[in-house]
Amino acid sequence: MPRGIRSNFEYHVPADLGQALEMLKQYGPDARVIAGGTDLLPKVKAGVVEFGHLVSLKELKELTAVRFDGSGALHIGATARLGELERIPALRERYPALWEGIHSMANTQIRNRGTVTGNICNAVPSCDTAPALLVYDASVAVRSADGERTVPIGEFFTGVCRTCLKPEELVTEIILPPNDPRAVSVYYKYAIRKALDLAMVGVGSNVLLEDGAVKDARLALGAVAIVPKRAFHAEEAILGRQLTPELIEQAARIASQDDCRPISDIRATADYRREMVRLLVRDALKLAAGIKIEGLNDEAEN
Amino acid sequence: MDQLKIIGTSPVRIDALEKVTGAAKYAGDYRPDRAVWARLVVSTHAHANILSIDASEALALPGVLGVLTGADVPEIRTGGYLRDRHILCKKEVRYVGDYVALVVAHDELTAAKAAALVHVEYEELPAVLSVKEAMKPDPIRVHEDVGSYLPTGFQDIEEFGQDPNYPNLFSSYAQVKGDVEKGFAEADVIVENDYSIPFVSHCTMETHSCVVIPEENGDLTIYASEQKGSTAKYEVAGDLGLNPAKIHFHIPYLGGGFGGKTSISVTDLAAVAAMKYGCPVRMVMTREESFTSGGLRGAADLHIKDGYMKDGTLVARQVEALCNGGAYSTHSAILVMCAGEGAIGNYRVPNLMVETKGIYTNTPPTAPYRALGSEYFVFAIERNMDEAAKKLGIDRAEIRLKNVITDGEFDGDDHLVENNGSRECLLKTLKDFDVNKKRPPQGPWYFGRGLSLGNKFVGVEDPAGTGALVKIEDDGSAVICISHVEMGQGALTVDAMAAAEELKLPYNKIRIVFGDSDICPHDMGTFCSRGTYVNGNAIKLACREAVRKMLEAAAAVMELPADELDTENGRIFEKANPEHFITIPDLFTGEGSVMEGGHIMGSATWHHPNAFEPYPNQKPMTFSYGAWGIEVAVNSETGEVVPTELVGCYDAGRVVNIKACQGQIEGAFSMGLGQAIFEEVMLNDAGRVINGNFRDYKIPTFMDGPSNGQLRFGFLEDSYNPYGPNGAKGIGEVANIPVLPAIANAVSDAIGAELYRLPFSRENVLKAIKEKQA
Amino acid sequence: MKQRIELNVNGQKYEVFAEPNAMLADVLREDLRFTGVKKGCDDGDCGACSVLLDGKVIPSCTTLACEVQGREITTIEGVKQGNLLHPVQQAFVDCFALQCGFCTPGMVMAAISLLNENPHPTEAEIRDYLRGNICRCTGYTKIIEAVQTAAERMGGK
Repeated sequence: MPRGIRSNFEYHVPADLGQALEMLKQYGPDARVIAGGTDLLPKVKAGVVEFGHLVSLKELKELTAVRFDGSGALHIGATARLGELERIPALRERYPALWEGIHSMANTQIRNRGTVTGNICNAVPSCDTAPALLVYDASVAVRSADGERTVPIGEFFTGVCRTCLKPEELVTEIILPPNDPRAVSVYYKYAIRKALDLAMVGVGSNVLLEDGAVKDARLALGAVAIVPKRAFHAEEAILGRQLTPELIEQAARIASQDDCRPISDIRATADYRREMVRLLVRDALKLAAGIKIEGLNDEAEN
Repeated sequence: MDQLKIIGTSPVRIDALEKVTGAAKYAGDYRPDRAVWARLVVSTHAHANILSIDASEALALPGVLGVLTGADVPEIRTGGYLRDRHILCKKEVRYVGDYVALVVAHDELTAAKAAALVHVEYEELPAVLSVKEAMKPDPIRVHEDVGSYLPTGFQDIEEFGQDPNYPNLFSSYAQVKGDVEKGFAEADVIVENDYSIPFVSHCTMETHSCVVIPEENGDLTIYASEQKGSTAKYEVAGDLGLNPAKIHFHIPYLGGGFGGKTSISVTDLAAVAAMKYGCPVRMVMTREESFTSGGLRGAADLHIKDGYMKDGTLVARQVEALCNGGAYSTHSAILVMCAGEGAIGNYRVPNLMVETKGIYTNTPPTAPYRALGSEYFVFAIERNMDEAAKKLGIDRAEIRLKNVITDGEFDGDDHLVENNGSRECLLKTLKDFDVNKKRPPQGPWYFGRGLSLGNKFVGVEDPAGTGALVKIEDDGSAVICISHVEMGQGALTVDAMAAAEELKLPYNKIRIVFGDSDICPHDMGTFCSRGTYVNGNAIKLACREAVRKMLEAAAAVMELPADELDTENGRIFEKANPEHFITIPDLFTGEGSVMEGGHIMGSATWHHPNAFEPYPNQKPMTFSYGAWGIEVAVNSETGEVVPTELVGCYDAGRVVNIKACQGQIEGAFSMGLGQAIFEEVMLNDAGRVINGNFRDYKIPTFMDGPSNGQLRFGFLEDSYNPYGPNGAKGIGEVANIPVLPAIANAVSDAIGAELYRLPFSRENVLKAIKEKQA
Repeated sequence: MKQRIELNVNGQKYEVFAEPNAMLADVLREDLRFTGVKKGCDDGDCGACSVLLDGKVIPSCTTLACEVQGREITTIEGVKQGNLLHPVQQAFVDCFALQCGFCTPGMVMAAISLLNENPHPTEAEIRDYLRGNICRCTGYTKIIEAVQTAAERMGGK
């Protein structure tokens, strides 16, 4: 189909999850699901995607739920809107990197429609929620007409705009295990403008210090490899060691050299991206270590 | 100076209510009965011949009326000043995005779908993408024979300075004063640099749009988003071989112009379709089309050489500007003749040589952008001036004060300088801004400060003048008919204020009828910062006549000679005994007609005294000026640039509406900031625009500018232009001009390195920092 | 294949026949003639098409019409309070927060959505909330003043 032609599809509104899964089984790769549609619809309009059936999730109330369970884990329903999630104080307190990832996305309008599930299923390397989900060890609950499985977030992304999901599968929720309240976590999104831009580089971190030594560390990078991924080399460099300024510089360098493979495109060159990885990992670790990060005074910007 | 009641205050905009309720209609909002939609099929090659167009699949779609191609459009070429472009390409396509076919269908989506199904076969031709390549001997020719192209006659320009040795040169112009070589020989220091200016896009929120309605009697009724005022219908008429009197051209509110809707429009295309299919045709450029075909600010390469004496006196200036005019000359022909004003408007230049060339390449066509090339000439000279100051060890404010030109002198065109507030603007800025107060670094942030002046001429003087009609209504209100184009700048508001002032009526008693070619008198268009100036003056004259007629009618009623009467606030009173009065409604019978029959109307045409001099020796009507002192913080690790202190001053003559004028400055600052750090239309090696959308072409958002209160600026309150309406000048373009150079000078100061390429993207800045450190 | 869609716009129920792939902005503009809803980019990047969905601002050019049946949609045409302008609209007029006006309907809707959620926004919060609304004319300064003025007048301060 030549580019530019908007796909004509049949529109289905299943009344419950079972019905939705049956439809996905029936239509297979010729179906798409829609919650917010903020990634799907631009593609539909540009004519770069073609499918025969659209399955709406709007009547599936069970997918909208956001709750903390008995163990303190956070369950984010597949169709819970990003805007709603932003307005949950407990989410912001306990998972600040996720809150920041969500808040940094696009704009208010898009966030009032879009979902975290949609963000990860779209699976662009610059996915803003992915680094946080990675450093919080999230997992993804997947259902199909024939069964269910839980996928650790580290196994979810398989390539540029590719996930491990099969066509008939549906994500029902994302689960974040409780995070140690002593841990320091953050998400930095580096982009050209302070609004609307895709991340040129995204860095998530979740670091727990005990007596100045790194008890646990998770670092994740977005937009600098074919998938959002953990920075295992940098993590290894700091685990169990005192988080000194020198070690921070070293780890940041390792992250930029060994943990990513950025490309050059119209937004930035690969070298610039690497350098921003280095700076942002450095700042994330400084934050964890309680070292002051120099900023511009507040009359100008943060 | 006159005692003014409303000029200089800030009554709310006359169009605010309509716009804030969504009632305001723009060209794309009109939907006449049975209207259909048109969509373009565009070229995918920068240079090619069309071998075949297969529209069969498109035509098979239900709801498609037809597909027009070059065979369906007139032989006559269209253009801004030079007729070089067929309405649809007949054989040769000259840029990626050039017009190959036009699909007409019942709805927009079907038209878009059908357009994607039109299959075009091309014979690819070698393309020339840079002005340097285009100016080589025996280059790839964008147009076979430039010399064969006819002028449109707009502004009576028939000579273009072409040269058969340069087949891609469509226009050239030279400004010469004194002897630059002599000047350079005398100079103590030479500053010689190349500056590279990128393509940028106006990014008007409303793209080019129109609807064309074919009438039963063969007339056309048009609603179009265009800046060319009364000229618009003559353009369509000339392009299509029609009688202009049979075209009813309506220009409603524009969702932004900035010059971009002056030489590019979709009206011809829709008109051809409307005439062929006998039904109204709507056309709205997509955002992507707007980035490619909506008219860009042309890229330019400037080579500038300045000679300065030891004491900082500028003695000679030489500029060679190669302006990329894209595939069709559009308005670049006039830019070539005018842009050089930027190099002389603020400063004394005893010896000058400016050579500006407009060059075809196989890249998108251009349109005048705030401000017709002056913006980059000012950028180049202000950067050079800072470099000269550095080399000479002279304070950057001092060097400007030394060279700033003042009233009574003669400028680089040998025109007498009048009402030039450059010096006062600079002094006022310096009162609150010390360019040498460099702050120490804060972590990775380095601070830098820069100054810039700016100037833009208020043109174009038109021998046909600008007309206005005023009609007094029987309830004591007044209707003004004017061809002034409202694109956001506040056109109608300042016009209503001018009318209210002259008629001595309350502002809320004034109504404006605008942009209707059947009833609004002539004005050549709203561009070049001329709107307030020419329309305000026309309105004043027309109002004076209406007042005369009111007093004559009142004289009969009050049985007094008219010269013993005056009017104010809806009353007509005896000057010697103001308690003896009647009201305006008393003049009317109650059925809209004056006692003795008839109506009370005033009409007038205003000309500037310079209007009858031959172009291009004409002296501009006037100039407006501005200055900024800007401090930036530059992050030495990321290359980010943040403006932190901003002090400015503008000379716009007697400002009509203060708040509206402030809005112009604030908006223009954002545009200048965007140009400085973000904006560049990027083309790949095949000449295709690769960032033609709002994600990849970055204009400043709410998050990207200074916070409220950081922008500190004012206007010269004592400036009064003798020929301007109530002393006003213009502001639209100069608003923009000093911003970019001041930021550039500040960034350069911060990093201690010179920057010659725009924009100052983070990578470019970081690169400059690293090169300096090396 | 066109199907029947029932849309609740500005407090009224409308019946429209539209394709499943029709965007809300186009249905509002063309089928229902709410031409106050503007399209600046048709790609979700400029905010000109902003309308309210159950009181919260959304991008109507990137929303399927069929997905929002049964929900309350508010466009700029539905914002007046009887014969009076909404305080946000009045503040835009009073503060000169508009020039060409093309971004204005979307901007007003976003501002109303903001003040619904946060009646006392700081300047930083206003900038952040409205960051998806692009304006090329005003430089944003007076828009912020208008939102602050509206907040005060609505009893925020």
